[in-house]
Parts: sequence; C-alpha cells; structure tokens
Amino acid sequence: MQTNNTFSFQRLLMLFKQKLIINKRRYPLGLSAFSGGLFILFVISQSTKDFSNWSNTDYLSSFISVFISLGIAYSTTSFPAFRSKEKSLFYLMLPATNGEKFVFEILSRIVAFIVLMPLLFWIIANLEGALVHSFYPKLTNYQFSYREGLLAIVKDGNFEFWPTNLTIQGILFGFIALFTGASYFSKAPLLKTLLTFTIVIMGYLLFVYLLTKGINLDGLRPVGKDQIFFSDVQSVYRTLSIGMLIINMAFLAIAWFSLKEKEA
Amino acid sequence: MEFKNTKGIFLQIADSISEKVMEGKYPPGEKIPSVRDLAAEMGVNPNTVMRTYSELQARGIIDNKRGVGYYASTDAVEIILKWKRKEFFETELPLIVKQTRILGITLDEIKPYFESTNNSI
Amino acid sequence: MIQIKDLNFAYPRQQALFNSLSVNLEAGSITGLLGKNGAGKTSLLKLLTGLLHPVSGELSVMDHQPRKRDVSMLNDVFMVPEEFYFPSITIRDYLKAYTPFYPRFDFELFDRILIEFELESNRNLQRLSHGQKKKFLIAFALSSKCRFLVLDEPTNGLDIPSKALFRKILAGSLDEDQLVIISTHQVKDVENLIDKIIILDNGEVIFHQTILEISLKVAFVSGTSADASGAIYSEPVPGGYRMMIPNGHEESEVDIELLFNAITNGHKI
Repeated sequence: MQTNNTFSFQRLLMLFKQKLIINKRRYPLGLSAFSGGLFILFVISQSTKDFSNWSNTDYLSSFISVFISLGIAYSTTSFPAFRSKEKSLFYLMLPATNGEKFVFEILSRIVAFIVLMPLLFWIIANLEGALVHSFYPKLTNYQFSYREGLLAIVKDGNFEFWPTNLTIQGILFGFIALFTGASYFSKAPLLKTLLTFTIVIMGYLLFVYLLTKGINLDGLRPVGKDQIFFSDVQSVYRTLSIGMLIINMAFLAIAWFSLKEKEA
Repeated sequence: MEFKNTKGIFLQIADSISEKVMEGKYPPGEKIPSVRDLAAEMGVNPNTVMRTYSELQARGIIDNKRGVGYYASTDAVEIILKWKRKEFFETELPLIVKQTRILGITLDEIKPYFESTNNSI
Repeated sequence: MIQIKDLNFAYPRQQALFNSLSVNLEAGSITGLLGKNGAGKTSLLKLLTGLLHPVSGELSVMDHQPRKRDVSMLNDVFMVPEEFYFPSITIRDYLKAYTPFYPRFDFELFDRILIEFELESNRNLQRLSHGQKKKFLIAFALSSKCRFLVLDEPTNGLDIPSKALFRKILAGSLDEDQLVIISTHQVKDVENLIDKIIILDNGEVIFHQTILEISLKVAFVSGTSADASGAIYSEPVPGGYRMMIPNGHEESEVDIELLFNAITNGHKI
C-alpha cells in the first residue's frame, strides 16, 4: 500500500473528524456561552443608552472589539497538544504529516474563527435586536448589517485598497503572532508572546534612540514633501501593508518550523 | 558442592507437553495447541514455544502437518516413556542415591514405600 | 528493521547521552531494553520514534529516518509511554477518532483484549485509573498491528493479575513481522516473554544477545558457597548464593536480574 507522505486531504478530513469527536461536548457548550454572552452584552449596552440612540455603528464597534480580543484569545489556544509533554508525544506520533497538522491548525484556529465568528455575531445581533425591539419599540435601529455599519464610519464609503489591506494585515498579525507563540512556547503562550514583543519593541526603540544620539541626527529633519522613501500617504500605506504581509508570512514560517522540529 | 538448577523454560514447556500426552490430554494422533495459542496460554515468547516444538518434533513426539498444525505422533507415548526413563536413570536417580548415602538410608528402609499400594506418601 | 549507526545524542546544555551507539534489530522478536536509571532507555526509544532528533549518526526505522516523521513510518509505529494523557471521551469514541489513522487496526483483537482486561468500551478514559488507562493503551497498541511497538515500562501500574495477563496477551497477539521493544526495570514481569536482551550503559550498548545464546553459554544456579565452581558472577541470597556459571550440559532458566548485574559489573559472556 502506497502512503502519501506529503499531503492528503483525506487525512486532513480525518483530523477534523477527530477534533469533532473529541470535542463533541465542548463545542456546543462554547458556542452557547459565546452566544449567551454576546446577547447579554448587547442588552446591557443598549440599556445604558436607554434602548434608543442605538445604531449599526454601535453593533459594529462591539463587533470589532469582540472580534479582535476573542480572536487573539482563541489563537493562543492553537496547538493545544504542546501545552504538555504527554499530549505532545501523542500529537507528534499521530500518523498525519506536519503539513496536514499545520494546515488543520490554521484552518481550525484562524480561518474558522474569521469565517464563523462574524456570521454568528450577525445572527445574534439581529435576533437580539428583534427580540428587544418587541419589548422596547423605541429601539429602532435594531437590524444589524456590516455594510451599513461600515459605511457609517468610512468616509464616503470609499474603501481604498492599501489602507484596508493594512487594517486586515494588522488584525491578522495579532492572530498569527499568537498562533506562532502557541506553537513555540509550551506554557503560558499568550503572556510569553506579549512579553517577547514588548522586549523586541523596547529593544528596537532603544536601538533607534541610541543610533540617533550616536550619529547625532538631532539637527536633521526631512525637508518638506521631497522625502526619500515616501512621496505620498498612499505609498506609506502600501509599504506598511506589504511589510506587514511579509512579517505575517515570516511568523507562519516560524510556526511551521517549530512544529516540524518539535521534540517530546 | 550442591547446585540447584531451574530448568530452562524451553525444557519446562517440553515437559509439560509430554506430561499432557502421557496423561491422555493430548492423545496420540490428535492436534495440540498452535505455537501462538500455547504462547498466549502461558505468557511465553512464541519463539521459545517454537523451539520446544522443533525439539519435540526432532524427538518424534509431535508431527507438523504443513498448514494445519502440530499433532501428537502415534508413538508419542513410547518415545516419551523411553526418554523420561533415560532421564530418570541419568540425572534424577544419581541425586537420590547420593542423598540416601549422605543420610545413611538403606535400600531396606525404602522398600516398603515401593510395596505400599497407597500412593499418598 | 532498525539500524542505528554511530548515533550521538545529547540534550541541550547537557553531557552527551549516547556516544557513537550502534545496534541493529530485526522483526520477529520481543526485545528487552535494560539499563540503570538515566542510562537513556526512554531517550533511545524517543529517538527511534522521531520524538527526539539525533545530533549525528544514522538512524533507520523500517527504511525511514525517524526525525522526518513520515506518515508511512508513523502509521507503523506505536509507543506506549510511561506517562500519557487522554481526552475526556469514551473508549468507543477514542477508537472512532484515532483508528482511521492506523490502516491495519484489528477491531476484533481489540475487543478480545478489552474483555480480558475487564474494560468496557463505554467508559470515559479520564475516569479510568492509571493502570486501566495503561491497559487500554496496551490494547490499542497491540490492535494497531503496527510493525514496530515500543513499550516503555508497560507493567508499571498494572495490578498483580494484570501482569500475567499482559504477558499472555502480548505473546498471543503478535505476528512474525512485528518487533516489540520493552524497556523495563521490572525484569520479573517480562521473564520468559522477551527473547533478546539489550543492555544500555554509559551511552553504549554493552550487551546484545538472545535468551537462547545466553542459555547455551551460561547457567544460573543456586548454591551454598560461592568460592568454588568457577562462577563467573555470584550474589549472596538468603540460604546461599545465586551464581552464573559456564553452562555444563543442561539449559537453565535465564535469571535476567543476575545477568544484568553481572554485565553491568563488567563481566562478559
């Protein structure tokens, strides 16, 4: 019998099936907790506004904060097997390729969240809105739509490619960085990842500070519009989002190698 | 200088099969357990049981019918008897004789034990 | 089946554990891996299963480099470690979740072993005792029909009747193309079960012989005095001495404990 040692979709499916069997109690529980929590959050936020003056933008701002914070929290639960030596052993010896395990982890931790969470949010927001409206008819803007919400905050409804891209890359960075942290650190990945970033950023700032002091750039200021690197704001966005994309890819590569080289 | 020696497991298994043949549990011409089954029954390495079977086969106590299994040979009882008698006179009896000399036991003292019909000694 | 050549291994920031270790193992054997505490038994098993990566040297398990963790190797290797973790699901669900990865899994054999070990498939794995979990894992390992089975201290935590049961089940469920390595300190538990002994000491394989070879060369006897008889090695026991002597005429039962002490004290046979 020939065994595929690179990538098999059938085994990827087996990994999903395995996850569902193992978590067949935990998943419904988690989803109900999430839905219930969101429902309560909406009711409380609306009550602070006396069930009036509620708008799509309010839904959207709670969406953004819940999406980012929950997404980060969920990303840190990636590679759950790496939290202990015993689990790691069984995980690493499970007959699936590193590629399949890696793709499965990205799909189940990042992609699944990005796809399912907004959908669930939308359903609960609308259900909650309709329900509360039937009690408090003064809650008028209870129908939630992402499009309406976004149009209200983006000037002229004009989505420019690079700023949008930068925003998406930035949010993804949050998820991917913690995904990578979870693949690399065995204990307390969230804390350790954040700590690592703090150290790196502080170190970088210190380096820049010492550099400017060292070569005495104090007197120098960019001259007007003829800057060296960026001719306009658009190119700043472009450069930053391409840079962010590269960083994201690099982090995924680190996660891949830490899975591949993991020992137990 | 006295040695006490536990027989190798491969010989212990040979003894136990021979005993079962003598007792009629494995009648001549009848099938005996497969290597795997006996290994499982006794918790012994199958290679050891295999070695025992080869030895018993070489002695003519069991036969191997290819693809079917092992059988107690038709003259198994006679072969075992001959083998065991030889073993008794060569290894067990000398030890007993030696012991009786040390303890000063005479043949006359032992005789009644052989003549008694009561086997419960 | 397994070739190890000039294997060097050290944990990070630690002294070398293996220095140019070499050994070959063939299928159709239950091999006992013995060694003192810290001799590196578990580390060697982890190197063979791709859980640790060698510093240098050649390592081949069924024509695979273990560190690559190829699926065609992983689905033919099963390890029963000393410490393990199971999700909170029933035995039945665990089978549903894990057996698809083992193409040769024998469900009938699994059911038989489960009955012998007195485990029910509707039991939640996390609510089993340590010994019961171990029995489940042994049942899974044997039923996986993987050609290479690694058992690290398999009888640790098993109750008295289960140890005999373990020997019977293992002896009765192996095929000739399988290799089992049992690492253990409980030599009494695997006596008569193993047909080959490997002794690991000071980062090297200092002994590698079959039980048959051993029993043809030496005999293990008890006696009242140790000075006579040209014993290769002797140890005082209540009522006399246990001795390893050159084999005269009849094979004796191999006393693994005595053999181990003799070999690790520098005696050769």
